[in-house]
Amino acid sequence: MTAQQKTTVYNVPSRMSSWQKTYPRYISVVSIGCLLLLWELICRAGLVSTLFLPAPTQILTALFIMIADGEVGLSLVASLYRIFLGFVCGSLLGLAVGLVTGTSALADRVGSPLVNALYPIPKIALLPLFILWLGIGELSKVTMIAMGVFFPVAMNTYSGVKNVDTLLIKVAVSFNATWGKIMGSVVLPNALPMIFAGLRLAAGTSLLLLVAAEMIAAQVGIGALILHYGDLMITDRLMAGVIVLSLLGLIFNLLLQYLERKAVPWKQ
Amino acid sequence: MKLTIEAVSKTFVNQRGKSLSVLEDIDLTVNEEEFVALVGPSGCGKSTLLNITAGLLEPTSGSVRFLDVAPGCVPRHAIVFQETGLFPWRSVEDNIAFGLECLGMEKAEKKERVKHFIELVGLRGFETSFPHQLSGGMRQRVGIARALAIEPDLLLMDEPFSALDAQTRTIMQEELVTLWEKTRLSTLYVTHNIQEAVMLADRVVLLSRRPGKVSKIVTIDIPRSERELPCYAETIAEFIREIWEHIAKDARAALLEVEE
Repeated sequence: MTAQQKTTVYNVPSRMSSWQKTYPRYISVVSIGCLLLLWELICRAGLVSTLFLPAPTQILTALFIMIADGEVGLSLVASLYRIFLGFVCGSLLGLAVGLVTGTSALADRVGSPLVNALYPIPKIALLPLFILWLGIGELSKVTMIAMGVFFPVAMNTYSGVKNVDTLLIKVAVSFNATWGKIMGSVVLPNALPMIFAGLRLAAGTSLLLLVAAEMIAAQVGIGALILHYGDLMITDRLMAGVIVLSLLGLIFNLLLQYLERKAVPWKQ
Repeated sequence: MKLTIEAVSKTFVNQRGKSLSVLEDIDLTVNEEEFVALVGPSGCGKSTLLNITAGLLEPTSGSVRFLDVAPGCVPRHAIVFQETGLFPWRSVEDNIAFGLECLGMEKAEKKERVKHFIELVGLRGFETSFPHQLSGGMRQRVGIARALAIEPDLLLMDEPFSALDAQTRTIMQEELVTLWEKTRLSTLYVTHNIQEAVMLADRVVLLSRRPGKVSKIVTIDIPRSERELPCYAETIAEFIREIWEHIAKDARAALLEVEE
């Protein structure tokens, strides 16, 4: 009989752990704070000219001054008016077109190629045309924003309606539901998550188009304000304008998230 | 009131123009207060027959009709689907209310009716839950309550428990027996589970496959609520064996079939 061979112990490693690691939330706040601090220190030390990169405190001061003297308020009112009007008109129209093309086979045949052909056009390229047609006033800018909102909303509504579960339609039919009942109680709720995805997409587009339009053809508005201070090389005020824009985008998104939670309570 | 299916045939034509006869010359009656189970291997057309009975699919030939209908009365079907078909955006009570809304029932009466059926299927406390928050068994209870709430003249059930695990399934079968004894609705129940059919039905109708034909009808003459009792175990087992022997060949053929 041979001598017993020496054995060792093998611990089974936990192999998924590097994929499941989590860190506490405050890490994000701390890291952003560090970054801002670094930025402030670089500016204070005079490593870069404040003409090109003003310190965070300098930008904030400029922002407060602009708020105090009503400059931000004035621009914001003009911008909000345009984006609100454009967004509401564009999304309502998109919703209607999406619902109709999604449910009626004839409207699908007629409308879908049209929508698909016009969708890839960068809407900002249409501004000169709209100015020609509708004048230099608010209408051309609002129309362009509405156009930019219309397409993502229409396309998402369309696919949301198209993807309705046939089983649910069958259920509704088996209970003798009317056409209107099926539309309102089955097709529309089914499409709502997709519609909201379209609205969130459109929110980004509308902000982009707003600023672009205001830089091209506006006296007042956040876009015009940013361009104005850029021309004058007053960088801290320029950046204050950018902060207002980013806050606007943030609030817009939060508002849509809130609406979605209210309208789609079954998806959380 | 009773339901008769007379000489129903169904032929599907696929895209290449090939026709496939799914049902051939089906004659079947569901009497008042009778529970009929339709059993067959997969691909025998049992779900197709159920859909035709519900009016969701048109037969190629033959007819489905209710006999002995009181004048002015429009018979109602209600269907319980295999995948439940609950509306994910409606809470339990709103799902159950759906059929009543389609009937145009008044609010107060609707509320009363929904409450009654929630209690009947044991869903109290879950009224405002959404389907995705419920277990599979609970979801199918909602499906059953939704169907029963419209007080149908004929209840159609399309493999309602086949998506459930074995334990839940056994519990749901027992509950269905109790529930059925309370309501005594004429029922057509589609399943591929022989044991389930034998436990639930008054008559088990066996379908052969391709084309589906009624190949045998077995009458289960044991009182439904006593089928769980040990003294009947042997008789029940004998029924199951008899039915399995009859359809085993078809079931094996179905297993080997490649989906076209």
